[in-house]
Amino acid sequence: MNKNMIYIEGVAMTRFDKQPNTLAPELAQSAILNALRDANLTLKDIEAIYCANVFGGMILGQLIVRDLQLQGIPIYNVENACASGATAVHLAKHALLAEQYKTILVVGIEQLTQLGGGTIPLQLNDHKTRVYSSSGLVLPSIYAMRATRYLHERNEEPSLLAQVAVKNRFNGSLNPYAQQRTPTTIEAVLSSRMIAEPLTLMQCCPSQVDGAAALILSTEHKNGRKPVKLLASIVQSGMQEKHTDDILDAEITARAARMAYEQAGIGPSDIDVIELHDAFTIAELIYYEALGIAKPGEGPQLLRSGETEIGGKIPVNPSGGLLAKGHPLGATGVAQMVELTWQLEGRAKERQVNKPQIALAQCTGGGIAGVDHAASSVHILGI
Amino acid sequence: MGINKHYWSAGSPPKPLGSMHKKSKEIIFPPFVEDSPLANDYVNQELNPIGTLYSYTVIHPSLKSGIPPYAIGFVDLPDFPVRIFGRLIQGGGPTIGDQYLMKPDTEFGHIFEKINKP
Repeated sequence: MNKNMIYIEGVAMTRFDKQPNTLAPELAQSAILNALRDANLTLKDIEAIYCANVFGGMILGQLIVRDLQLQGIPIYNVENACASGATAVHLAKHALLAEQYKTILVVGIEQLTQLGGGTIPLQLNDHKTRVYSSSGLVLPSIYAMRATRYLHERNEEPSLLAQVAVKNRFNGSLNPYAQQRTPTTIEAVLSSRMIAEPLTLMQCCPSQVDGAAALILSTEHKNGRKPVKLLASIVQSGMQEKHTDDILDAEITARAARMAYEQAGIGPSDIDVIELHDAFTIAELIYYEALGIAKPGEGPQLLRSGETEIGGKIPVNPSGGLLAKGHPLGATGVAQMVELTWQLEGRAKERQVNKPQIALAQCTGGGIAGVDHAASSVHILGI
Repeated sequence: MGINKHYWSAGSPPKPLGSMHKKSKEIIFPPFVEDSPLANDYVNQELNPIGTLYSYTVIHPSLKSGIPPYAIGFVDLPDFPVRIFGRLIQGGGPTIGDQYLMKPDTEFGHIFEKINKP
């Protein structure tokens, strides 16, 4: 057994949905215990826990596992905005490679219904964000301005954006873990309530959603199934924006993807299935090019070709993505890898893509004024 | 609330201020506050308040909020180039490439007012 290899031994998630009457321990414990069963492990096999969360408050990981009788093992609480879950996996990888532990549980959880609805609040910890927030900066506006510029430069119509929502809503209709399970049409997407032009409500991931996801990483493969390996794990931070920046190039994600491909020793053409951060429809189109699955300027053609649908050459967001599955922030990055593990193992049922060997998860985190994104992560899994 | 003196010059009319890095000449907006540990590497620089709209959106708050739709966008200021975010007002719907004048505003700190083409 290669001691530098990390295996995903077990995965599980709750349905992403409004669950306002369920508290964090019950929500997360469900994912944790099912992931352990999936790995054929018990709680005694876990040597450390990484808990990803954004708005749940301090020591949430300890609260979640207090009643699981874990005898005081280290629990690390991780926050990196929407990339918290992916960052937790990344940190767990480091600890495994450093041989601090052999088996780690990563859990991501978020209860956005506790915030009462509306857009995710900006943190006003710096002068720039305070100045911009007083002018009306909200998270959807960043994506909306990207969409405006995208349609302008590419000479495209809003129906292109809507096509992303239609694809991912259809995928979500096949996924029992998704919040939105009703297929839709371009006309319905475009006629839903306007949020931030040109983005309508159905082009924005739901803001009222709760959920948890868990996976078990280990340097030992024991689950009896064909091993799913973590081939690359990259987390990058955004850089200060310049006046010359192109808001369509998603520099941070392109950079993270290049590093991940190099770490895994593969290229974009080797990827068989992708879960990416479609918080808004425009994001998926931009990430096609940032991840290298479409050449610069050819994202629209890739979408129109149907090749990113479940039956296509490079299915994107077979789970329904953030748009349909939902986006409980701390859980999202973990849930992407749960879905991809199911896909690689052929366990995705109705939404199963055709015998994938290599899968990619991409997750961005945070909007802070003056940088592309605060964080972006790319993970590559293989079987 | 008066004009935010942090990023407006004292002249009349006041001009927006940025921090210019002494070596790279890169502009930061808003400028660093005086007690920033980075302030010594920068000098305050008056900016050309007339710029070009790079991108925009119109936000439609929920009906129950009672807030009417409002336009916001990124405007590229020339000369000491910098891209600044803010409210877009007047002159009908915004279009990429429109010219805007950056002005102080007691509610938003600053606004961009559309300059009607002759």
